[in-house]
Order: sequence, then structure tokens, then C-alpha cells
Amino acid sequence: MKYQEILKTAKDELSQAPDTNALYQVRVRYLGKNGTITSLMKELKNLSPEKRPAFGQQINELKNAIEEHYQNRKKTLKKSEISHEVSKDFLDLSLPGPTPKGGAFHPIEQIIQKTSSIFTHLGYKKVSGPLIETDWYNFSALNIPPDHPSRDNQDTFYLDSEHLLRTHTSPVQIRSLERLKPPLAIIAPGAVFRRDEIDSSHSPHFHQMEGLFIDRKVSMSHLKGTLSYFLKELQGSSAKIRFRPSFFPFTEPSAEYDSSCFICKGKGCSLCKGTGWIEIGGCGLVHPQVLKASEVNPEKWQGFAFGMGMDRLALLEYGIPDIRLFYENRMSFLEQFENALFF
Amino acid sequence: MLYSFNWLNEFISLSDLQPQDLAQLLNERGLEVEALSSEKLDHVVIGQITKIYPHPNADKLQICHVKKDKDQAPLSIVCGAKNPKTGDKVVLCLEGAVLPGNFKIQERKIRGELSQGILASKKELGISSEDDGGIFILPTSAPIGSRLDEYLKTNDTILDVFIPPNRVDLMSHIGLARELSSLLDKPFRFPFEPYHHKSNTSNLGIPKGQMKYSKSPKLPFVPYKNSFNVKVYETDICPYYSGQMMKDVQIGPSPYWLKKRLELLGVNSVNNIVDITTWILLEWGQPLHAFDLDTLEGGIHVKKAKSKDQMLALNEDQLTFRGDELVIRDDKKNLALAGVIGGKSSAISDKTKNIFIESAVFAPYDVRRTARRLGLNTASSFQFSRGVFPHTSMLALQRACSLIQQVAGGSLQGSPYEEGSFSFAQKSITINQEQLNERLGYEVPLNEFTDWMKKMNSKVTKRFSNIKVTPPYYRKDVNIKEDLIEEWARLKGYDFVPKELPVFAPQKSLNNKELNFLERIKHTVKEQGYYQAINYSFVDHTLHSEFLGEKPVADIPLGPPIFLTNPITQDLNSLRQSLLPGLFQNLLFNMRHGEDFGRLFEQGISFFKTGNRFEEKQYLSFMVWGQKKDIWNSNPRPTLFDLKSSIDNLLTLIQAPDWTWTDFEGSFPFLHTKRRLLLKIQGQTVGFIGAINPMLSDQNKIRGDISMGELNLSLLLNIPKTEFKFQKPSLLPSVKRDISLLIPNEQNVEEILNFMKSHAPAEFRQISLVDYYEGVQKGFRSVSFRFIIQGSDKTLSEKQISSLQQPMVKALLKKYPVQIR
Repeated sequence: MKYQEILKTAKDELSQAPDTNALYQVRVRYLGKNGTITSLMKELKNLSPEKRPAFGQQINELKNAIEEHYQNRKKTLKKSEISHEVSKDFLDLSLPGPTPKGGAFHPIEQIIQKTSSIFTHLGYKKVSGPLIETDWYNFSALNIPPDHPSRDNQDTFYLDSEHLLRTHTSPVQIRSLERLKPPLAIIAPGAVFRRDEIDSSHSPHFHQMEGLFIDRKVSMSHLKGTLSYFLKELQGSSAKIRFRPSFFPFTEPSAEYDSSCFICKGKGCSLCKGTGWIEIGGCGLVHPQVLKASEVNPEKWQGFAFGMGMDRLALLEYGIPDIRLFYENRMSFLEQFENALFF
Repeated sequence: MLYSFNWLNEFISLSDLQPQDLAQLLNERGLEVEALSSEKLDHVVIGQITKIYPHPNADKLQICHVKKDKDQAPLSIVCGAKNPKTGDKVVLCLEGAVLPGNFKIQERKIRGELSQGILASKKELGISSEDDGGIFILPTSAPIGSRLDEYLKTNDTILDVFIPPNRVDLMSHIGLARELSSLLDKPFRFPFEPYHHKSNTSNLGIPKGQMKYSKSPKLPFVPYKNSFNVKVYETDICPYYSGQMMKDVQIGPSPYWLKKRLELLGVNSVNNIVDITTWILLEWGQPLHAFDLDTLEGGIHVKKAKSKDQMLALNEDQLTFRGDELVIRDDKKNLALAGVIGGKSSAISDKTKNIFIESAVFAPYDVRRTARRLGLNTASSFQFSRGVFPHTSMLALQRACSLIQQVAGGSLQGSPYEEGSFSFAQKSITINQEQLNERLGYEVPLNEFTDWMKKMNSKVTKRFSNIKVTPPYYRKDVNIKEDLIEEWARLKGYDFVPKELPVFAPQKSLNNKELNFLERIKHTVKEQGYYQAINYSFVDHTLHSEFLGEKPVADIPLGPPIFLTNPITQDLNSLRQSLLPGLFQNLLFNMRHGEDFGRLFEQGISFFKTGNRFEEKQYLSFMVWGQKKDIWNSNPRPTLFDLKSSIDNLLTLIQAPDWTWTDFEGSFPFLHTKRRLLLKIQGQTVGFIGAINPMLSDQNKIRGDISMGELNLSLLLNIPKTEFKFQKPSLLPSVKRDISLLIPNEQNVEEILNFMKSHAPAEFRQISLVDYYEGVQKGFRSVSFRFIIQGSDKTLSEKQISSLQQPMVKALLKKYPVQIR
């Protein structure tokens, strides 16, 4: 019968087709519009009605069989074609992709974010205060009356007899106490200004972070515990803390707190001048006068406050030798902080 | 403040301590030692000449054999001076010694003869400023082999101690020694007997048993009538005044010991009288002033200055008074500005013979105010601003007279004048165990607490659980129980304080809208490839206003400039009203250093003043220059479009409602007049961008494609956000259709795009620009738009799409002078 012959020839032709193109041509010859199967179909109408179903079925089977062979052959050919193409492929993968966008926060901003996040994880809220302050918030409310010699230590920029540029972030203590009644725990990073001559470690515009915690029965041990936690988060679990007695008008008792040296971890090196310790900032229990100035009853509420210099911390953290580099904003300086370690 | 270790040692025995140990002790007790420097003269010893003979090869030189040790062979020294004789005690400077003026001593041959050092003259040792032509011959009692600095007591260690402003009592050698006597539990001693004509007891606030006196002779205070009157008119400002006349003093240079010690403490020697007043200030914390008695006309009056009255000060400043200053006058003229500076007319001069020494107390606030206003920060005004104790003014005066007699001769004229009163009484403070424990976080041993308070010269009484502490008169800083807690913490150290994280009470939530917004802005801008800059808040007003011009910046009138009343320099004299001038300076700095690519942003505050109110507004500014070229990007765009897209992106990410970029009038002198855009949201201007004005580039000799922009975040913060609405993605296939138009140069593309967006049927999901080029036809750009089309409930046929597109295109062609390509 014609059927077996056609199938065999078709199979042979399909198997011999050298590539998918030729294969497709074979398929068109058999299964296309003018192909063998179509002409067989045309013969159908010349047959007697009783013969038609059987013949029709045969054509269908033939068609399916050819299609199946075609598909199988196509898979094989495609596979080898792709393999061949892949084997001949050329793309120099050593070429770089498009230049990355880049972008970085200023190192001081990075330190602010890093230190802030340590405290916000503890439950402190971040707040801010104005840079132009009044004498009251910057001094008097912080237990620094007008003729107090403490004002000598913070040489102040004045705008008029009443307004000045804040010399520390401490006014935010008063503003927060006024706005939010205790208990509270806040941090307030931001710019501060002092009339210092510019040199490698002084800038008239720099940044501090203030912390304030107010609750009942707060002690020095809570302060020490908090700052110890902070230093360990910042410098790793081996970081140690040291308190040294000090004086600030707005805290009583007052202390300065040091961290074990960032580089030598306490053994003594050039950074810590051989002492093993690095001065971080000042702290203490909030002076009763400060609470009174904010209309908080010091018999009921106590608290601690701490401050630290962000510029100084950034200098230490990144090993930057000169504070002036922070304010030049040179691209080749800032670009280095794209991959600075943070978070 | 600088302290001499030797001087402290005169008041309290420190012989068992090294200066380093002392520094450590002070540090631990809250008195930070900021520097420690030793004054030593190594390899300079006392020798004795055993033989002198002429140098064989030089007529003017001789060779001395000098013994520095009984048992060893003498050294051979070549010497040019004629004065040494055999047996003389001389100063032997050996190899390694460094004399003043960095004169390094070496062993060397002089004209063929070995010299193992030199024999020094007084000038070479810095003891005298004049060359007396010979070497320094010491008294025969000088011990052979000893160090010269030990013999002359010039070896010393200087401690630079930070004295907290509340510890006035420590601002003198006696004050610090008194503190050390408490801290070290050692008796305080006077190397001279203090004398007080009234009570005949010295009172430094130290209990009697803890103070020792040497047996030096008393100063004879002869009762003698004053030849003139002293009158204090302002007893509020001058609560205590004392003085003493001295006759026939001899003004001259100070002796070496006096000069040397002052020099070590950073004070230049003037003459013997002035140097003694300085000495007393350093020893007692009592500023003194010496007047030339013979220049005085009539008595001394302590009163307010006459308004517009003048005085030529010691430093040659011609002072004009306001009338609120306290002055010391005679009957006719101003003699001194009380506590601040003396006048030239009554100053000690070479011709002075008779003097009046003033030892007084002036009110801190007044001295501080006057000194500040006149810019006269003297050692005296500094001390008075901090505070001076009248309790010891008379003792200091008498000590001064005694020292003056020692260095300048003269005799006391009459008894000292004294007016004013003071009290030793101090308020007591009550504290109990619970309060101590609660503040410190550990159990404070009460016995130790009371012991320490007693050591600090406080009176302590115990009643039940309460402890009553009365601090000594000089501890003005101890007033409330917190001060006692601090005093304990300071003395005991903080190492006993345990570490404990406090348990948090729940806090009310804070509305941190602004902070959160600013953080989000900063992150978004940074993620788009910008580098954050931080500039000073103060600027040079002239440069700043030249840069900005007088026009409003983003709808904010600049308003009057805000000047600092006391800037450091004129180039930092006012507060900024825009962040752009600062970023522009950064640009110039970068360009000077060859940085030809930059993406800077700054988020910060600008300052404004309306009426008497100061306002701080948050701004975001950009400075953009250059393009980074890479192999994938061969056709760099103008930087202005980078900036525009960054801001578009930012606005999208912060969910800003529809915004527009529009042309604008008005002069921003820093921007290119044809390349600048105003950003408007809901009719409000919130910012601008633009390319740099080529004139500005030219003036500053910079080149390149530079753009900048500034947004007013305080405005942006308050604009309501677009509401977020979720839309389910359609499952139907979408179709792309492009249309290319020829658009004349004078027609802006954005308008066409917006027209299409507003006229397109809902099925046109997106309309975007996909191609743009110039040069097809002169005066026209060819611009291709792409529509993404998607049916809402069924797939659209080709025919349907065409009929949707037709009306929009027709309307477009009708309205705008554009052609379809």
C-alpha cells in the first residue's frame, strides 16, 4: 500500500535532513498546503462513501506519524545546532558592565546613622532642634547663668543680644523635656558651632549627638550600662568603657567617658598616645536645675544625658587625619565612602 | 592652667611622687592634665678647677683641668675666658648637653688640643642676658658633681591642668596644693609664715592641725599713718579692698629664680615689682596691681568711671569709658580699670621709687563684662571673672611685700589699708545612704564617705541616717546633695559603678514626620548616584549675595542677611540663605584638583529672618558636572537632563503629586538664561534647576558641562502625597505602536507629550518618548513616541487600535505645527 511507502520515504527524508531548515522543507513537502498529505486528502472525495472513513483514518495516522518523526528529528537537530552555536560563541566577559551609579553618604552622616541606629534599636527616639538658639535654651536653662565662667569654654557665635548659634546639642534636652513629658529616651544628632580657629582637629561648624534618658530612680550605673552597650555595638564586644570624673554645669555628677582604643584595643598605640583609651564624650546625671528649668520635678524624675562628637568619631572610625577634609567635599574623598563599612 | 611641680612641692611634700604619678592622680580626680613637660639641663654639672695652663697653640686660650668627681681623673677643657682660677667651682657642660639657643656641646679638638666640653658663662646658661666676659664662678659651697639645675633648683616639671570653671579655688599653686593635701592626706605647709595684722592666723580653710609653718622671720608691719585716703564707693562691685605703701624700692630686673620660674609658667619677666605681682597671682590666685605712688594726686577712689572719660592703658590702648566700668582713680585722673588693666600714667617705671600695692576683690560679672567689651583679656581679668577669695587677699598682699623687700629692697610705709568683709560660713547639705545608693547604683560605704568629706575639709555631723556636710568656704561649687554625690564619685573614682541597661518605660510615639522625610530624601538621592556634601552654615556675605543675586530662590525672598556679630573672619560672616554658593565653592575646589566628574548633593538648612523671627528651612541642593564615559554609553547627555531625571525620580519615589517643569523669568545670575527650569507642584514653586551661566564659568576659569539645582524641602514636606492605589495587572496581551513626528524647534516636546497623555483613550496605557534626533530637517526635530495599548476586557483588533488612535492624532495635528513622518 501507498501508505507504508510514503511513510518510509518521509522518514528517510526527515532523518537525512542536515539542519532544521532542510527539515522544515521536508515537513512542508509532506504536511504543507500543497504537500503529499493535502493531495491525498483531495483524493478522498473521489472515493465511494463507504471507503472514505477507512482511507481518511489512514491519512490521519500517516499525518500524525510524519509529524511525530518531524518533531523528534527537530529536537535532535536543534540540540546539536545550539551546541554548535554555543561552542562557537564569542563574548569578552572581561569587559565591565555600565559604570555603576555610585553615590555615598558623607562620612559624618554615616557615623550619625550608625550611632543613631544603635540607640534607636534600644528604644531611643530621634529628634532635632533648631540651630539658631536663644540664650535661655543654650545656656541658662542648662544651668549656665549669664556670668558663669562656663561660657568661656564655649566661645559662641552671636546673631544679636538674644540669639546665637547653638554651641552644643544640649538645648534639645530642654526642648524635648518641654514637648514630651517623662519618661523619655531621645537622641538628637546635629550641627553645632563654636568660635574655634580652623585647624586639623577644630572646625567652627561640627556635629554632635546628644542623648537623654529620663525615668524614675535613674543612676550612674544605668548610664554606664547604656554607654558600654553603645561602645560594644560600635566597636565589637571586646570594647571597654572608662568613666573619668569631670565637670559640666548641666550634669551632676559628671564624667567623661573613654573607649578602649579603636586600633590597639587597649594595648597602647599612636592613636591613643599609648594610653589604650580614646576620649569619646561627656555624660552625667541630669542636674536638678535642668529638670526644674523644663518644669519637671527633680524629686520624682531623674535621668542621664550624654554627648559625643560625630566629626571626631568619624575621624577615628575611618582613620582620617584632618577634620578639614570633611568640609572640602572633594569627589575623590567622598567616593571612598561608597563602600565604607556601615550597618 | 600651668603649675610648677617644684612650687607645689613647697606647700606639700611631693618628694615620694613622680610628676607622672601626680598627673595620674589629678586625672583620676577629675582634674585633667593636658600636658606634662620637663625642664631639665642634662650633662651640666658643677666642677672644680684643679689646674690651669696656657694652650700650646693659641695665645688667647688656656686649658683647664676640671674635676667632677673626687676619685676620677680631671677632664681637660679649652677655655677662652680670663676669670677662672685654680680651685674655682665652675659649670661644666659635657658632651650631649644642649644649652639655651640649641647650643649643642660636643667633645672636639681646638687648635690640636682636646676639649671634653665647655665651661659655661651666665649668658650661655640663660641666667643672664648680658655677657660679663667671663665664665660663671659658683660659690665655694657648691657641691662638686651635682647637676647645676638641681643646685639652682631650675629642674622642674610643668603640668598643664584643665581647671573646671567651678573650681576657682584650684586656680593657684596654694589652691592646688591644698587640694592635693586633701587627696594625698598629707599636711599643708607654708615655707614662710603668713602674717595677718588682725587675727594673726592664716586661714586657708584647712583645719589647724593639718597646716605647718616654717620658722621664717615675720614681716614687720610697722604701725605708721597712711599719708592718703582710700575710699571705696562701690562696695557691691568691690566687696574687699586692701593695699600697702612701700618706700624706696629699687626697680630693676628680677633675679634668676624669679625670672626662671615665671618663664617656665609661660610669663615673660618685666621688672622685679611687676614680676612679684605675677608671682602672687600664680601662688595665691590673687591679682595685685602696683601703682607708682609719686604719680598719684590725692587719695585713691574706687568708683564708676565717668562717661566718655578716657585712660591710656598699659598696653597703649586709649580706652573710652561708657560709665558702667569700675575704675581706680585719684583725685584727678583714672589710674586703672579695676581688675582688668592698669593705666600708663601710674605704671611702674625705671624711675619709680615709692609704690602702692593693691590687693582687692572685684565682682566677676562686672570684670568679665568690661574685659569682654573692651577686648582686654588679661591674666587679672581672667582670674577675677572666675572669682577671687577676699579671705586670702591680705595674706597675699603681705607675702607680696615680703617678696618685694627681698628682690627690690624698700620699706613698708604704714600699716596696710583694709576695707570690706567676708564670711567663712557655708550652707550645710544633708544627704542619706539611700540617696547615695540610688544615684550611683551601688552601696556606698558611709564611713568612707564621711572620711572623705572630712579630708576635703568639710565639717560632717551624723544624725540618724542623715549626714550633714558643711563644705569649707572655698568650695563654692558644693551646694546641693548632687554636688556631694559628684564629690564622692570623683574621689572614689567611677570604676566601682556597675554597668546596667535601664528597663524602658513605654514612650509616647513621636511625630517624626520631618526627620523621616529628610532621611528618605537623602537615601533616595544617594541611591541615584549622588555624593553627600556638608558645608558650613556660615558664608562670606559678599560672595554669597553676588552669587545669588537679589531674586527669590524658589519662591522664598532672601530677606535681610543674617550676620554673626562676632565672626572668626570676614569670609565666614553671615548665615547661608541657599546651599548653592557652598556647593559652588566645592565645585571650584574639585575642579582645581582635576576632578572632572561630580555628583554632589547637600541636604541642610538655610536661614531667614522676617521681622525679629529667625526661620530655618530645609533645602536639598545639587551640583552636577561631567559624565562618566564607558564603553556602553557613547553618546553622553547634557548633565542638566541627569539632574532633571534624578529629581523626577525623587519626586516619584516620595509620591509627589503631578509636577511640572516650566520656563521662568527673573534673574538667577548663576544660571544660563536659556537652560533653566522651575519646578512647580500644585501651582507652588518648590525648586529650580539649570545649567551654569557661562559668564560665571568664565569668571572662575572653569570649563565643562555644569548643572545645579535646589529644592525647598520645607515646602515639599507639606505638599500632600498622591494616594497609593493598587491596580490588578491585565491578563490581556498588549500591543506597541510607534508614531514619529517632526516637531519645530520652538515647540517644546513636553507639551506634545502631555497633550497626547491627556487626549489618549484609556486603552493607551503608557505613552513615552523613544527616539529623538536633530538634523532630519532644518528647524525640526524628529521625535518618536511609543504607545502601549491594551484592551480592558478583550483583546483589541488592529482596526480598533487605529480607530482609537485616529482622533488623538488628528487633534494633535490640528493644534500643533507638527507633521507625521
